[in-house]
Amino acid sequence: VFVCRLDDKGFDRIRKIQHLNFPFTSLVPMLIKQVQLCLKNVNQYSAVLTLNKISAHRLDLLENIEYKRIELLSLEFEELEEEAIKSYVTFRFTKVKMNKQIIQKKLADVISMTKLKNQSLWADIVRKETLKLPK
Amino acid sequence: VVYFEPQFPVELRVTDEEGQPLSIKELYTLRILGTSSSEGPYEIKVELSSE
Repeated sequence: VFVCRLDDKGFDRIRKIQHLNFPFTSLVPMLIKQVQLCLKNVNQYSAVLTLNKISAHRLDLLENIEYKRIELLSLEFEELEEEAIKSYVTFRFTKVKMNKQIIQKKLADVISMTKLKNQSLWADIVRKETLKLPK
Repeated sequence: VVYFEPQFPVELRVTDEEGQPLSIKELYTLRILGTSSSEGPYEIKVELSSE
């Protein structure tokens, strides 16, 4: 897990070095837009994470035009310590577990509703074994 | 506050033990977290993690 923390002062430093022309308050929308472009237009936009042993790790958001690769934004990242990673994994695991419980509850509701309202459909589902029933 | 949590392809560049550059393309999750007030965000925390 890599982390980048930025406040307005830290961003001002980056803005001057990288000649960025948007304020700190626009950083989040700008990041969202760039990542969405990386997803939608793989050939034109890309992200490169360079891991350095001596200095900070760097994430570059890039645009590939016909004859040049343009660096749009670079952010410095640090790697989280083992304890922080453990708590991060625990958080992610708990979130996945909670989502699973919510989905299982919804599935159980759908099953009981189908059993009650449409017994022939339920019989079809059971016969075809297309549905794995929650315990 | 979690603003955003997409998965997107990232080209990971590292140097191996012999000093040779390696490049791998992986899916990473980006989480943007921030503390904010009515005047805007105080601090933005960007987390990048591979699955």
